[in-house]
Amino acid sequence: MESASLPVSRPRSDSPPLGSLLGFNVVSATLLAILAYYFGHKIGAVIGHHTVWNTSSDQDDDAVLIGMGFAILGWIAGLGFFNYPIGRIFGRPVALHEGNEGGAWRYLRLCTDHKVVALQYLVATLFFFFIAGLNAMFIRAELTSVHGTLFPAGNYLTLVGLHGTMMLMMMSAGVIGPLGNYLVPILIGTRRMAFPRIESLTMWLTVLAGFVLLSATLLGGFPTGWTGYAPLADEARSGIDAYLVSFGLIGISLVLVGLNIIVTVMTQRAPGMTWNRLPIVVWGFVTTSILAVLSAPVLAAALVMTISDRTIDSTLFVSSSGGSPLLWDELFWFFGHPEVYILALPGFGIVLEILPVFARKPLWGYKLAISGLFGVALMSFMVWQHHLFMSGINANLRPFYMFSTELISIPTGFIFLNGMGTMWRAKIRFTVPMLFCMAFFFNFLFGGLSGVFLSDVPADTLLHGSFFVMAHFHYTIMGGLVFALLGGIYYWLPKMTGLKLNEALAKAHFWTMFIFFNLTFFPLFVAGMLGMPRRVSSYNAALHNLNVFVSAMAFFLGLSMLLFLWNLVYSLVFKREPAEQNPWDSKGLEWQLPSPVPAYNFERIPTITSDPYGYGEPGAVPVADFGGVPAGASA
Amino acid sequence: MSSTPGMALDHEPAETIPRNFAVGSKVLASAVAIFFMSFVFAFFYLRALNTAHSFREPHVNPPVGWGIAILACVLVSCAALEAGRRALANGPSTSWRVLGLVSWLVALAAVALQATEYYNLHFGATDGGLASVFFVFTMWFAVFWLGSVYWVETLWAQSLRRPSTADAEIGDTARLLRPGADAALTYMYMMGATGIVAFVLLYIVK
Amino acid sequence: MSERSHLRNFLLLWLGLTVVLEVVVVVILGHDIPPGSMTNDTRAQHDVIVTLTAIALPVLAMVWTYLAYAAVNFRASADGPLEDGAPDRGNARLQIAWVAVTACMVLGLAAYGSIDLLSGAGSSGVGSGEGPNPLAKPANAGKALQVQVIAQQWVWTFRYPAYGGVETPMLEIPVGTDVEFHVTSLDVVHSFWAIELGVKADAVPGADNVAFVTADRTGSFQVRCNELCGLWHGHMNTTGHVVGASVFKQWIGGQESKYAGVTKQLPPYSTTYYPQPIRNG
Repeated sequence: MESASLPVSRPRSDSPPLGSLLGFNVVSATLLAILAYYFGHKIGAVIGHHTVWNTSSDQDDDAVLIGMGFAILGWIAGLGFFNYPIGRIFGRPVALHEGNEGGAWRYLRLCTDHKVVALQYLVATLFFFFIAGLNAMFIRAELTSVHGTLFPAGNYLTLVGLHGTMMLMMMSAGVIGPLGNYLVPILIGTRRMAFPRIESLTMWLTVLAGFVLLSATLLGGFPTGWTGYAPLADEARSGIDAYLVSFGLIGISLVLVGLNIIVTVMTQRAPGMTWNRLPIVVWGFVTTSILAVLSAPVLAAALVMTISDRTIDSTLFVSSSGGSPLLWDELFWFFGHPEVYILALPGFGIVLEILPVFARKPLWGYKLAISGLFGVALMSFMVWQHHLFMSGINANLRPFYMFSTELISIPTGFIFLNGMGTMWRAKIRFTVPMLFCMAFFFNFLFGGLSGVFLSDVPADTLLHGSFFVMAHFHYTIMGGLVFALLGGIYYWLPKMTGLKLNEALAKAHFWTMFIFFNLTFFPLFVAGMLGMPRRVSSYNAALHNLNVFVSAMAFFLGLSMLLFLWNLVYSLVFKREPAEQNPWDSKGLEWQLPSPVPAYNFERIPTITSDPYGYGEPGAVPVADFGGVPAGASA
Repeated sequence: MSSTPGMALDHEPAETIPRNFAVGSKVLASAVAIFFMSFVFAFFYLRALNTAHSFREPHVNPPVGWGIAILACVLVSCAALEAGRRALANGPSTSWRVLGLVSWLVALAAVALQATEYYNLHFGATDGGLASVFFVFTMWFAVFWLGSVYWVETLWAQSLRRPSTADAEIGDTARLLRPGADAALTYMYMMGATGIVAFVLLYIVK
Repeated sequence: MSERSHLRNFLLLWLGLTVVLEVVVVVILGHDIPPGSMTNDTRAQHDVIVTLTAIALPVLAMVWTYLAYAAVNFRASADGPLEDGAPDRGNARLQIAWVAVTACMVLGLAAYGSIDLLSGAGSSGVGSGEGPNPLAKPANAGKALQVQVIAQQWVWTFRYPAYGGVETPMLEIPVGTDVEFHVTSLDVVHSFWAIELGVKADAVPGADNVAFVTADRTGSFQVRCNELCGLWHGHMNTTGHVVGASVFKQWIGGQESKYAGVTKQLPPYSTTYYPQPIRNG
């Protein structure tokens, strides 16, 4: 909390020489983390030797967890995050920004420039996104045969768990991290986030979480999927410790990102940025942040309960000694349902922000959209037991949760009305971001409507826990959030990097992704209805052809994602064609700044004069008054 | 990285940092409060289920004396910082320095007492639902209470430091002390309330 | 084109697509929508799913029609100058109407689902796991045949308390009789899914989860584990049979004598069991 920085973000002209490997950066952090792990592992083996079968093995939970704890500290220390807090112990005053100099090297360090952190986030989350996507390819490869003979059963389950957990983790961090950190300060007219050091910390914790999760493969894997159900998690091999620690790191990171965004929007809005001029995408990030702050601590609590079951032999989830597996279910889904809206609300915000630009119309129903976002956010805390309809918890509560779950479709419907209203009598330009936004509505519709089936207990009795559910949340998360995110990347990346993306490749990516996404996941609704449970490696032979078809389409979907990757590499590394300042003719505040945006964002803090949606309105004024400095003059 | 020598950037409003402290500490306190509410939920949930009739084994009797001692340290630490914060109205005075030090030492004592209590218990985490909740709840309370210990220390140390030339860049250090203490107290009051709930549930209600 | 004619064209197209979709999906394909008609539960589930589909299709048609209509009619000219659309920022009456319509749909759906769950065609919780004290049960629940489903990694066993508490790896139930499944687990969380019976209930250690079914005709059904339970989750399946009453009597008698020795060794019948957990050291 103390690591606030100064209001001053003065650009410094003296650029230090490229930092050496011995400085505080990702290299020293990696070395320290690995050393600290072995040190912690040794200590843990000594402390815990009386409670485990075999010390200094990779299955000694005390040693593994203490090792991971040390590794986290080593990583954070190696990046220099302790310098400031230690200085504070000795009475150093509040403040001082750091690490914003040093050219490309600052991307590998603690850096408090929100635009640098955003790009770090983007690269990191996309890296893990592609790893998780590769896992999905392996899963589909296994399911081309009825009895799944490609991987050993344990490895297959680890792939399923890695895919699910990695995607959940990286998609939670992967929108609010890059786009949230990039856009929030610029769109509200400030130079920095409220707590820039914490902002950087969240990013580096996300990176660490990804690698810790991957380390599960070295520790015997984990069999629980992303839901980590107890007591399976209690009895699993040490790979589950990697799941627990990495998910915990993401939980902490989510709380801190949310805290940072809430505080920034509350306190640092530029003069004239009233609540009803706030761009809708910022509202999307604010509501997401509220969800993160209020739900992720429950996940953290559930995770530390499992950790204590595995280390100090508490019995919280062991029914023979006064615990209950249902306790995990309740806590996990109390987090888990808001979590799935953490994976939806930023998408709503992005789509509604981009639509007016390419429809050349004001956002239709601005206040309705905000109430939709808040409605979804608040109601998402009241629906979690629909994940437990078949679990045997008090069945008398089910009509209530059926009702509350269906109720949440009302605010979700607002977003559709906003989108349709904005497109009515518009002048639509079919740019790549716009295509992704329209596909968002197409896909999310399936996700939403299938959710109504799942909320209805009689229908859910057939569909619960089957591939229908799997198709449902892939339609909402991949078809919804990922499509919105990709639209957002194609829309804002020219601003973030100052470089153009190749449009032909982008269009090819969009169409292949849209087509193969639907061909992959729509048949899975059918597979679920015909009796295929989730996370199986073996299924009814009658479903073989269907699964082979889905696998083939999934591989094409994977190839389509490679087009995206190639576009990034080709445009940003090889071609490097400078982007215009405002290629989309947008009225948004960010587009009035040079590309890329300078370190200090604004030479003068602007006075906001209008919301950014005044397309086609006769009396529309520019979005902001830049205090006499013409926009982009210092590019 | 572009730089424009000689260009003057206007500063953000001076009250931004204190407001960030105020809002940030409230958000942090609510997040941590929800973390502990999960343990409260676990307590009532397992107590109601009482699976295998072993929520509370007969020998699981958390010693009330220890509980009172730890809770008293937590509350005294909060009270001392509250008094110190009032003293800060006149700048970092001697009474602030004394009260800040008292608050810090008593906060530290709470953690030390908690650690000692663990060595004097007649039950372990394996002995049923209550024992499990007891250990998880008190352990994580102590960990998060260490946050208060750190926070109070930084405020205290900061007030000892003489203003130096380096501070010119960040403005008036003393001006930020009071908002810092306010923020720390928001967090510590939340921890104090959590401590009371934990004491009542784990030592009294059982 | 005027706003009014756009609206009329859109509504006509929407109506047309809705009719086509309803005819194809509900009228033609509706009968084949899972989960079939073997039991009272599957019939109830089938009806609900068909009803929900019929309600969902107009919504689907609306958004599809709208996206296509907008893409065709509201596009900017390809190479012309930048043009702006009509600058309207909302329409209070339309927004209120939208809220009212969606609210009515949601309330209707929730009421329909609740009634169906508690007292609808299945009238017995439509085969879902209802916990230890089921709210919805068949009229003569007291006379129902009790079958305990015991899950453990990675096999199913079934215990018949009315027949000496015999435990067998086979599942057979008589046709036309109310059956009361008591689902529990010995180790981790599993889920009992008897697909063609329309029964799904999680198996939680230390918990008793009750689900009812009445089979209308004989035949076999698949049982699969529906909750990730570890290594061989995907292979945790078996086949059950619905048989005539006399066949069932004969079969269960055979099981009783076949497993008489085992039954003596078993703990007495109980809704939950607490085997000692495997601990680290």
